Amino acid sequence: MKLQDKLSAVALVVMAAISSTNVPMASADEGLIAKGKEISFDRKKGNCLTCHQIAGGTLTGNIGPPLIAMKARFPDKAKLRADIWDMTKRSPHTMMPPFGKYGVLTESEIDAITEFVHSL
Amino acid sequence: MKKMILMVLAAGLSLGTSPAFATTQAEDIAALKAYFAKKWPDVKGEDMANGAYALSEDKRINWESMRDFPPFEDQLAIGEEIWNTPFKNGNTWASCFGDDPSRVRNRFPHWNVRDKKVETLEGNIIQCQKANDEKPFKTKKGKIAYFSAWLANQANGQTINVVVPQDDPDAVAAYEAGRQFFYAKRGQLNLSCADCHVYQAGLFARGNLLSPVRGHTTHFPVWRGKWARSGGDGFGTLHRRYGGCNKQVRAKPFKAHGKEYSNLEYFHASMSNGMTINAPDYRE
Amino acid sequence: MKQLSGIVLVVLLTVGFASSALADEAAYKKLHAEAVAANDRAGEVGGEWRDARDKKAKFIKCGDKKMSILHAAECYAAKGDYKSAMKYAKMAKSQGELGYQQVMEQKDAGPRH
Repeated sequence: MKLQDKLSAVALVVMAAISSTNVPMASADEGLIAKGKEISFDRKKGNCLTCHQIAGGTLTGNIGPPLIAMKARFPDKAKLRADIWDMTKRSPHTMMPPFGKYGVLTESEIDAITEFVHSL
Repeated sequence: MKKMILMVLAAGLSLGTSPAFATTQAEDIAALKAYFAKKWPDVKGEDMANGAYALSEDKRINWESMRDFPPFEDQLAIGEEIWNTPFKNGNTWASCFGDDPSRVRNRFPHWNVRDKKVETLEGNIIQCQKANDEKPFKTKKGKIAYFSAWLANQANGQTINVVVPQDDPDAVAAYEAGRQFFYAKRGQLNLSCADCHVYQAGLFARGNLLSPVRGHTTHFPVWRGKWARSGGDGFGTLHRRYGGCNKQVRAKPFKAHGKEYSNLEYFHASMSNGMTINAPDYRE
Repeated sequence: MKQLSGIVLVVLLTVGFASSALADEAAYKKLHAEAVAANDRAGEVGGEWRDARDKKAKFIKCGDKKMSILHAAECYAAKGDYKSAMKYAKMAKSQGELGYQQVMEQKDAGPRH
């Protein structure tokens, strides 16, 4: 094979490899949001549908407020994360479990849920 | 002037030494009645005992059809057979509970002045067996539930009146311990009985309508759809449900008929004072 | 010469490995003891949580079985995986501490309606 052909072949292979590994560009968030949704809907983890109406959830509870317009309600994402971590700080009699303080979810699970919920 | 100072001092002292909640059983019941009446002005007192079925038309239809053809007729028959079967030593259940089976259920829970403890019906069933050298039933399901259900059924229509002798500080302490248990958050999920059954009663946890505490014990033992689905036999005692609820909030459950659950029952049953026994019943 | 230094290297690595494994085992045993103490303390006041160490708990997997958090720690320790064993012993300890604290905070719980 001529050198130029070899180089083109290599270039093609490399390009194919890149597109097949599907490295997202601005979608690192999307991956986290998808993970957050999975954890939220998991009965053994966030189990959020027990109390909250969330788009895409069925047979949702109504003990807590529906999770909509979250960016408007929480312009500061950190405040949302703090509520998920330990709602009793802001509302001592809340029914919401202290997901972070009591270790119901790991810190990275809470990160993912925060991304997901904030996107609602 | 002197009188004023003394009064202020007395007030100060009593504030320092009295418990956080010095309300009596009567006051607690009245407060709860008022609370629920305000929440649901359209639900008549007695109907509240039907829990979710008083609050949701959809669920009521299913429940009423269950009551037309109850799934627990066979187990009730077993309960009756148990009452009529003497022990190996020739004694009968009447030797522990008296001749009239309709006068058993409503005597419990009550305060045992001599032994300073709360007596529960199922606890006494087991006690009776042990006293007669019989192998005791398992504490939460199976025969003890059938027998307790039949005894409760015999007492249908009677008015619940759990007595907490106010002049007996140990009885009052047991009642207050039960109340504290009911209102305290517990488990990794940090939930109290009151969270679901007082403050959020009437709302939905997933597809389940949360029932109010008032009326709870009127219909135990209960035939629970969920228990029937997993094991065929849906009957369970009150303490079985206590254990299940505690596990659901990720707290380690306590022993059936131990001190914690007996004190809890003392408070819990009190909250249905004035309502009538209507047992057993179906719950989802 | 090359062979000797190779052997020395292997010996040193093995000794290094072994001593760090011993250190891990010691650290795990300490955490395990602390976890037991913390859950005993919570238990005395009626504040134990469901999954920390109850033999009926089915929460963390080790092998093909699910068990309590502390049991999982013991299971991993038995396999020589002290990193996992320490992680779960720490978790069980934390549950005991939080459970005790929770009881203390709830002492005056009562009706507020």
